[in-house]
Amino acid sequence: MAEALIKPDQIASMLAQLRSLLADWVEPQPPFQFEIGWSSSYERLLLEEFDLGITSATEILTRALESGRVLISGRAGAAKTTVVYRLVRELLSKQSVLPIVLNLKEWQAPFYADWSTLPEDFTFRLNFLLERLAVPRISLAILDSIDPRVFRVLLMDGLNEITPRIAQEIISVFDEYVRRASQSAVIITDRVVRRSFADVSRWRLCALKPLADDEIRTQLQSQPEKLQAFDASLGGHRQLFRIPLFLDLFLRSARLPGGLLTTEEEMRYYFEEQIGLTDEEIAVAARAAFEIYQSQQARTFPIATLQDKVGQEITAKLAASSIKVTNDGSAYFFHHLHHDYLVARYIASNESQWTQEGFDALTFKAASFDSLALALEQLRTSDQADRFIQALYDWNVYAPAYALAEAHQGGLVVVSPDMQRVVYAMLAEKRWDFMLQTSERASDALSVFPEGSDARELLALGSLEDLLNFVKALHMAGNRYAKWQTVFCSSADTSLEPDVFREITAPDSIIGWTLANVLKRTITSMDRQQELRDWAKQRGCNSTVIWRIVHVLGAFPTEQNFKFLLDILDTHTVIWPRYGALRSLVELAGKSPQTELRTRVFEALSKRVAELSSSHLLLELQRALFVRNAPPGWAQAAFPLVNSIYERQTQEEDQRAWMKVAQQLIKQYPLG
Amino acid sequence: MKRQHLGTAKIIVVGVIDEEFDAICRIGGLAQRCARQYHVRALDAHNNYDLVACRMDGWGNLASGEAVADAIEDFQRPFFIILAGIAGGIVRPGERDPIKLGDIVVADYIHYSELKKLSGATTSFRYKAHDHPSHLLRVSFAEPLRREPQRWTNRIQACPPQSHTPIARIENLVTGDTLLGDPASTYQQIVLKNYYTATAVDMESMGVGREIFHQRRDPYYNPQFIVVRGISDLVEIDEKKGFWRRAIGSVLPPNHPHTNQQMRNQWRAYASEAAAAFALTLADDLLAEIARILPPAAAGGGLGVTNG
Repeated sequence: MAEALIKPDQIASMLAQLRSLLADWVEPQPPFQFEIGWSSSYERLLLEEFDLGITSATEILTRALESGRVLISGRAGAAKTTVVYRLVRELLSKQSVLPIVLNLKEWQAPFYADWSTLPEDFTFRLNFLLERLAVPRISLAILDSIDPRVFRVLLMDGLNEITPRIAQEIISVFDEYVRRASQSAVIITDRVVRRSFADVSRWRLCALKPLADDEIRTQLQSQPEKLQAFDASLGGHRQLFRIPLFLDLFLRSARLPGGLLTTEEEMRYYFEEQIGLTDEEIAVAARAAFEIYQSQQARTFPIATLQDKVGQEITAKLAASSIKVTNDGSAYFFHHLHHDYLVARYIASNESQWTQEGFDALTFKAASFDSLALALEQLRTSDQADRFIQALYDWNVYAPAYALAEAHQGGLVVVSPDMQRVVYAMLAEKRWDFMLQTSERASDALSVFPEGSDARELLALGSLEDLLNFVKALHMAGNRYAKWQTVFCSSADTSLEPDVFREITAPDSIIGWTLANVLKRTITSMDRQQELRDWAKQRGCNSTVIWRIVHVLGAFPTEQNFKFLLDILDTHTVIWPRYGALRSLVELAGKSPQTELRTRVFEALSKRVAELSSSHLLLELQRALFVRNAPPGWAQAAFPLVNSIYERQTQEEDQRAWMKVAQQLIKQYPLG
Repeated sequence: MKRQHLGTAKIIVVGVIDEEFDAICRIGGLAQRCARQYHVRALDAHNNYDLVACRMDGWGNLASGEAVADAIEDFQRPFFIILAGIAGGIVRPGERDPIKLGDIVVADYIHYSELKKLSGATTSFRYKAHDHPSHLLRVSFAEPLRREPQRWTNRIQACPPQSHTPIARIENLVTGDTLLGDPASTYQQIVLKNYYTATAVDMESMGVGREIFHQRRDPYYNPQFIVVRGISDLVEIDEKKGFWRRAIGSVLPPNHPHTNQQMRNQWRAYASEAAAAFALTLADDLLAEIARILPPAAAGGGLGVTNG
């Protein structure tokens, strides 16, 4: 074999860049001992069922050598970045190994536009990531030219820092790379959220476990008063000690917890006592932090922008120990939770920002929900917290659950028990949704709650009937919630009272959406379906109500509903009713006893492929085709539609995706 | 540090449907499953194999590409990949020496028919890069073997549905992905007209060629592949829906009215064996050649060099 273009002894300058990176990194002292739990599936991982063992962090490298692909999940503050740096340190001690660190905190807003212009070939995308984010700075051409005996380990930190779609694409990029670079492995850190893989059996899934009590005691041993405070704390109040970021803060703080240790309190203490900001200064920084998320849509921002907004003094205090400033003038908080806390503080005190725009900015369009929990924890009354949860529900049906789950882990939750039950029950109902992916997402959202919680109890129920019985037996205190309970528990053989029926048009989203679901599973006569269609057609009917109505009508496969849903899909100007109509058309096809109506639905959708493509609805269609209790011949009925979409795709990746849909349909639904 | 893999292999033979994979295992004596979708002649303590049979998970170019990518990752970059199985033979009016059922086509060039832009009444073809079958394997191994038919036809165990002496041909092949077309569409006719030099049609060769093309991006890996197809049914170019029938044959169940299943049922087992017999004889020749030029220790456990 000819000599390698770049020999193992010629990568010294690259390794030097990594050593320099490590030199700049300050590891919390004394170092914590982490435990890693390994699971065979996301279902188990989300439930913290570690059926493949619990190990030390060094096992990550062993399993990366085995399969080439490891994904490490962890809650905010779980020390994911610390683990990555430790792995780099270990890798640097080995011969013929090149670690490459890619820090997604350095992802900048313009990268989104740049990424979207790249051809959908993993090589272009990988090169993009390497050239912008990698330490050492390297291109794919150089990486490929290195002697193949050099083992390359790509460590991607912070997949949750970017939007879910691109995060998913990045997983695919690394998967493809490892598949084709024999001596390589990838290790990715992420928050606790389900991702999909081309072949899940080639990935090793693990989670950073909360710190064990023994480890906490070891760390606190040198400070007996703090150790005593820990030992005196009870069950749920101990949660925060188990998060490395907060244990580290606690160790370095000069105070003892007066009572309950909460994320909010610890963060406030950090900014007030350790950074030295006054209350007013925190408020100024909080507003600036929010505006930066809003304008930059990324964790990274120009330091000059911050300085313009908050002045030199506050900037100097933050830059001294909380913010990393790079040579090119861009900056980011060392830990994203610090930035999230400031943003959450602003949101919590500004109810006018509890809107789609506000929440989009706060979470980078639902990429990261940590800031929602931090905001929730800052609300002091149940009324306010309930309003916040409802506003979240209006924005994203899964968001209240994730915010509540994190808040439960982090300390105090003032959301009323009734509101919590409503959120959990409405989510739990989706476990039996006609669309399988909706059902999976609902289960995931309930899985992230602590064991023994109300939410997890709902996850254990075996049927929708069990759920209705469970909710029926609850004691709901307020009028509003008692009314919700009655509606939610309506049995299949009832027809709702006219005044209740009309509530589907109510401005209250909780009751409105509950009605939208209940009408699907109770008696909704042809006349009532006509009434719903008429309401939707009335001038001034808002798009959310239309969305609810199309959601109902998908359950009733009639000619009139078919025509109505198509009309909404074709003519409505707002995306959500169209999205709902598309899903309902597939549901209507799946529930129709007549093959003829099913065929017509798919024919109608086939004729609209161009329009669906331009409105990004195709992705939803891809998910919606996988349904529960499909009628015989479902795959064949869907094929002409899938084929029309497939044939219109010009990008290889899109073609592959639709080919996979076809293959999956064949596997899942026996050909008739 | 070194990535762990399932083992090493010099040659991977890939099959799709049951008959293809079974024929490869039977004729090649690959009776032992070593892991996942892989079969070998006998298990080796160090998992170093000369020859591994690989079964694709599903049909089509997507699955074939993935199967080859997996095999390359699992067996640390094998040197040679052989795609062996059945295909439709294309028969054109007035042909002097048309392809026959049970014959073998070794592809020397792969046309990909699937990338197209449908615009009103016109169809314009688009192109994407992929590798073509290996010159080394074709010239140094397939061509000599083609001239000595008894060496591979003797290995066929199945009986042909009617008296037949198979021959091997080295020709162009057209490959596509059509899922379900419109029977009234003229698209399929356009494909056959456009690729007028093709003699066989399949749904997997492009996947292999495209994956090899991707793998070759690495300057240290130079895999070689070849496609061996036994003809199980004929595509009559004059028959309006012929191509369409062939293309969806592997998607639809055996008795579906849209398949020319009768012909395929009759010839599938024989055609699979014919392809396997040719492919495995070629593989044995290749291994014998390696053994001839390398010292026994190196030939037994690997080539003595890494293939990237």
